[in-house]
Formats: sequence, C-alpha cells, structure tokens
Amino acid sequence: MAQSFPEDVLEHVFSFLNYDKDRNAVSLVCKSWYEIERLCRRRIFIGNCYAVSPEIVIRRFPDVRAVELKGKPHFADFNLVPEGWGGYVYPWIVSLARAYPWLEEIKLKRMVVTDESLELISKSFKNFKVLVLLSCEGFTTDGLASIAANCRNLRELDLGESEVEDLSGHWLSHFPDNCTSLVSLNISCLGSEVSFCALERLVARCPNLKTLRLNRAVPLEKLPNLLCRAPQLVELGTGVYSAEIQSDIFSNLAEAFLGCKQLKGLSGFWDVVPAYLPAMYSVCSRITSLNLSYATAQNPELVHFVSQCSNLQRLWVLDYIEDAGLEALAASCKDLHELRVFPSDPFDAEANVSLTEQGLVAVSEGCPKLQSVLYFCRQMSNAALVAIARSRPNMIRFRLCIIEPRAPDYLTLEPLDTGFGAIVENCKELRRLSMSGLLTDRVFEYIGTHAKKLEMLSIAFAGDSDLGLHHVLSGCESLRKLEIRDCPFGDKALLANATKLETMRSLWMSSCSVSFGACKLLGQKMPRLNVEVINERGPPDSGPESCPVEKLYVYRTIAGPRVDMPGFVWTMDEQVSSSLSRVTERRGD
Amino acid sequence: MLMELELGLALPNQTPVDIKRHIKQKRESAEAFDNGEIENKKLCLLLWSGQPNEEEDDRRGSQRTDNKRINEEENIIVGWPPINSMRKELLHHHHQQYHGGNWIARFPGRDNNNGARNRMSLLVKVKMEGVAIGRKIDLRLFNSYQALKHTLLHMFSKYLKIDRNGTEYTVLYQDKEGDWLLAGDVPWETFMESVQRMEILRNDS
Repeated sequence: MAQSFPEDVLEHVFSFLNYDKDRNAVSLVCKSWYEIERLCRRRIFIGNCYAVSPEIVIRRFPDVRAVELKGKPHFADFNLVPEGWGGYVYPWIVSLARAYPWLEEIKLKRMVVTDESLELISKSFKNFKVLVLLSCEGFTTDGLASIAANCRNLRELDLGESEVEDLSGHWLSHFPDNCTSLVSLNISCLGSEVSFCALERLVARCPNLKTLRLNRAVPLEKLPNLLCRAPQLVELGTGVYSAEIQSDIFSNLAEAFLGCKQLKGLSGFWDVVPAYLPAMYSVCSRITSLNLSYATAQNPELVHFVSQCSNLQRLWVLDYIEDAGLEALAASCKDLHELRVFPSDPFDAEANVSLTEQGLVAVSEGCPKLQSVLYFCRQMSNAALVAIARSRPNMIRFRLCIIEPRAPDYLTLEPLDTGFGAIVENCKELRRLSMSGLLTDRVFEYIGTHAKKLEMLSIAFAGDSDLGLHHVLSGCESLRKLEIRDCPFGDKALLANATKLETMRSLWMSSCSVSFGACKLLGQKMPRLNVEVINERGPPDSGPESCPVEKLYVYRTIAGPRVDMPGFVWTMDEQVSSSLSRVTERRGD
Repeated sequence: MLMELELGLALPNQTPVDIKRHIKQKRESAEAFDNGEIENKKLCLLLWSGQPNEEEDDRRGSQRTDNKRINEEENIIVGWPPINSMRKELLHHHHQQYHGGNWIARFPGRDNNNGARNRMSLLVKVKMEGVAIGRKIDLRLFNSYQALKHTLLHMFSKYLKIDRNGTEYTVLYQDKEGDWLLAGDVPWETFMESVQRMEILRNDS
C-alpha cells in the first residue's frame, strides 16, 4: 500500500507534520515510511543530550535545519546539581558543523556553552538564523561578539536567563552595518552596559524586529529613543524602570508607548518607580503577557496597573500583589491562562506580605481559562485546594510551593493529601504537578490512581515510605520526568519499577534513601538506562552497600554511559566495581 | 515484560540515614504490596528486617539529620525554596537596598522616621532545638526579655507542643565575642548591643 505513493508525494504530506510525536509515529508505519521521513525531517528535539549521541542522530537524519538540546536536570536551577556535572555542547557543535552546513537554528537549555562553541557556530553555518540559550552558562560576551560579527542572517538571539561572563558591552557593536535581519533580541540577563548608540542603530536598521528585551543597564530615559525607532515591537522588555521624577521623561515615555500599536508583551521593570507605570497605560488594553516578576512595586500602584490590562493572558508577578490584588485580577482579567506568583522574601518564614491561599482561590474561581499556575505562599489548606480543583478542571500545570517544608493544612493541621488528591482527580488533563507541604503516602496513591496524563512531577519533603514512590511509578502512565528531593523513598520501589524507568526521560532523586547497592543492581540489570550516582563527599563504595547515595540521576539512553563525567559522578553499569577502582583512568573535563 | 530482579539482600539492623519526621513501623514487603498491584513478579524484593527504625524513638535524631542539610551559617536548605539564581540575586539586591526602611514600615505603630534614621536593623537569627528552619526576628520591636521570649515561643509553637509559659525552655544568645550566654542575665540594653544570634533549648535535653 505504501509503495503506491511516490516518495515525493509522501514527503510533501509529511512536510505538514511539525510535531515530533507525529513524525515518530509515521516512521513506525513501515520501512519505506521510516526512510522517507528520516530524509525529510528538518527539526529535531533532544530532551536529554545524553540520551543519544550526535553520530546516531546524524546517521538517521541527514538533512536537519534546527536542533534543540537540553542538558542538565531541572533541579540544576536550584543549585542541586554540582558545578562541573556536564551538559557540554561543544562535542555536539563539532559534529553538527560537519554534518549540517545548512543548519539554521540551535536552541539549548541548561547546557554548558563555551566561547569556542559560539565561535564554531558562527563560522560553520552559512545560513544561521536562530540562537536560543536558556539557562546556559560557560560563555562570555566575547562569544556573543563572534555570533554578532559572523552570522549574516541572524534573526534571533535569545540569551534567556543564562549566566554570561560579562567582559564588556562592546560585543553588540560587532553586528555589521548591513545586518538588518534581526527579529528577536533578548539580552536581559546581561549585567553590563551595552553601547547605547550601537543598540539604537541596530534597532533602527532592523525593520522586522518584533521582540526586544533589554538589560537592566539601559536607562529609562533612553527607552523612548528605542521605542520610536521600533514602533512595530510586539514584545518589549524594559531596562531599569526607574529615574528621577521629571515630567519630560514621563511625557517622552508616554508618547513613545503611544506609538507602539502592536505591543502585546511587557517585561523587565527592574527597580520600578510606580510613578512611571502610568506612562504605559495606552498599551495596557492590548497587553496579553506581563512579566512583573522583577518589579518590586507594591499595591495600590501594582494592582492598578495590572487591572488596566483587561486582555491579559499571562501574568508573572511578585507576591507584593497580595490577596487583594489577585482578587482584583480575578475580576478584571477574564482571559487569564497563566499566573505565576514569586516570593519577594523567600528566606524569611514570616510573611512580609498579605498573600495567602485566598488569592489563588480567587483567581481560580474568577478566571475560567486559568490552566497554568506557579504559586509561592506561606499557608495552604485542603479546603482551598479542593475549591481550586473544582473550579478549574481544565488545569494543565499546577505548581505550588509552600515556603515552609512539610507545612500542614494551617486550619486543620492535617496533611494536604486530600487537597492535592482533589487536584489530580478533578483536573484530568494535568500534565505537570509540583507539590509541597505536609504529604503522606496517601497523596501518591491518589496521584497513581488519577493522574493519568501527568508527564512531570516534582516532589520535596513528602511521603512516608517506598509505597509512595511505588504508587507514582506504577500508576502514572504518561510520566516522563520525575524529580524528588528529601523524601524517604528507597530501594524497593525503585527496583520493583525498574522497567518503568525505560519509558521515562529521567528520574532524579536527591537526599533520599536509595542505597549504593540498589543503584549498582539497577545499573547492572538495565543496560538501556544510565544510572548515575552523584556523591560529592567521596566514592560511593567507601561505605557499606546499604549506605544511601547523595544524589541519583537515572535516564534512558541509546548512547551508553557518559564519557565526560566529573570525579563526583559514577555510572553504575556492568563494569561498575572495576570502574570505581580505576578512578584515575576516568576522563573528566 | 518485567525484569526478574532476584534480590536476596536484606537490610541490616543498622538502618541507613533516615530523614523522615513521621516514622512508621516498616512492614514486610509482601504485606506492603499485597493487593495484586504487582503481578507476575518473580521478585524477592528487599526484605526489611522488620525491626523498628532505630531512630523512631528519637525524633530529635532525625531532625538533627535534617539540620545537616542546612547550611549552618544561613539556616537555609540548599535549593529551597525553589527559585533560580537570577531571582535570588535580584531579591538579595533589593533587600540590601531597602532593608531597614521597608521592614519597619510594615509594622503598625512605627512611623517611617525609624527607617530614615538609617540604623542597622537588629535582625537576629533564632534557632530552636529540634526545628529545621530558623527564624529571624527584629529585636528593636521588643523592650524586655519577657516579651521577646513570649514571642519566640509563639513563633515556634506550631512545630512542637510548647508550654506557653515557657518554663520548659531556655533562651541562649551568642555575644560579640562568640560566647553563648543565658538571656536575661544582663540588662536589656546591654543584651541588645551584643547579641548576634539566639537559640532556644528544651530544658529536658
């Protein structure tokens, strides 16, 4: 049947398939579809850079234009992955440079990117267009200078929240005068000042610039200069949003914003001076995405500004918004899809603001489209969680962080099992869940029973025994990523569900009770998993086998054990006992 | 489909480091999984010895283990709350700038002139024995040991059953020389000038 279609017809049909899932499904139909598909796949996404090798990728897909790679585990964002762990992109760039001279896009997340890598990218791909570096590290502004200087057709340069060694702002001046192709520029993570003249000229000569996210060092007084030259902007990240209160600064700002008729997204707002917020009132009604999570503004100015944005779909804000502000939000922003409330004083157990579970309940009840939540607070109750679950069965992402570990329901002093149970039972489309507060094994039973679409679960300071982990691993059919810290989960559940781990991208467990012996066993029995033990205090075999490992990272792979592990990472495989004694032969970086 | 994991290992009586606060009697593996959830397992799972966890009777033991994970200097658990470095830096910067002023402004009855005086706030860290997370308290809000002790015990009361009279607890403080002294021995003003941090101990320890 498949042979009756000429290849180019099939190829044309396949060109409409953009999702990896669809393309993967298509390649499984028959050998000839596999062949046709692999020759015409242009975008590849690799969720774990160690799950596959560049050679394997290149062998299967000979003509790729866009590559997306992720490196370190998510908990690296919170300093749980030691420095030097891995995630080096350089070997990938070397292979990609050889195999794909027409590569246009590279997107990296949580990877170590050196200036060498950036230089190689800038010189190897003649038609390079898009570079996105999210939460990456290891490079300096010199590397950025290479990109600016050599990528003639650069459309997108997004530095995300990367850690960049900022040697000088001069790199921006390396964009040649004939570079007019920029569509998106995000330099918000950079510390030092870029040459404003160079920036201004760059912005002026790029008529297609839609996204511009400045860094803190760009002064507010100069913002109008940029806005006037780019009235077509759709997304703007301001620099520092503070200046002396002067009426001409204000009127310049207001006028500049008035000219931005396409503006839909706003971010930045460092050191915000509330008096300047009204300068943006003319754009508020069109704003769909607002990131005020760096803005230390408080009520009433904060909530007044947010309430102006009646078409808001996404709001990121600090807990200065308080319950009252969230209630106002619930009343005025009926299109809200996503809410993230970050803590303004996370290390103080005492509340500095009046933000409680009530704010979240109000938004859940008032905003019918709310589907994605990240909420930091200091108290929670089962009743509130049940209310949220009942109001919002359409919830897809629910991440709740009660600042105090193991905090119970503050009204009843009971665990929050019932509350989170209601979330997973009512929200049948839930794909991502992060929990906190006092939780027993019971909540995991609810999760295993109900959370059938759950793909990512984050657990901290929860559970009583291995039964908890067992419920999750045996019940959550769609689980891809599981990250656990400080829970009393040990060997039993892990070993009993070893095969489950091959159906997932990865499992992270730190400060749990998994013994070295169990890790060895897992590694030996499951050749398609890399079982990596991270022990900073010394080799895991220096104590008895029953001793728990500090951190464990297990992931499926077809590339075999890593060869770039630092001294504090041990891989558990068939050669585990001999590899431990051959510590000196380990190749590190 | 399931791998055959034949494990004849039994946990020794010396249980590994346990971080649980709520410790239950561990059950035999068969009992634990005995509801048909696990089918066709030719597994002899790790058998618990059935002995009670040694630390079960010693709650403080498991909590001291918690404390190991806490940076002694900072009373902060690594990576908690889960916010990234960019955000942490930003908040640190903000609090450094507005440290004294903002704090005072939020308390009823204090006028903003206190902030304008530009004095370093007297925020000291307080640890309570057996509680993982420390607290910070602004000593300028108090004028007597009694008020201070009362407030401290109230702050920590949700963790442990505390006799509100505070008779079972001793409050210590560390002075500028690094010595630990009993709170209440010196006049309040002298205490205020030298206190660096505080700790509350249970009298029966």
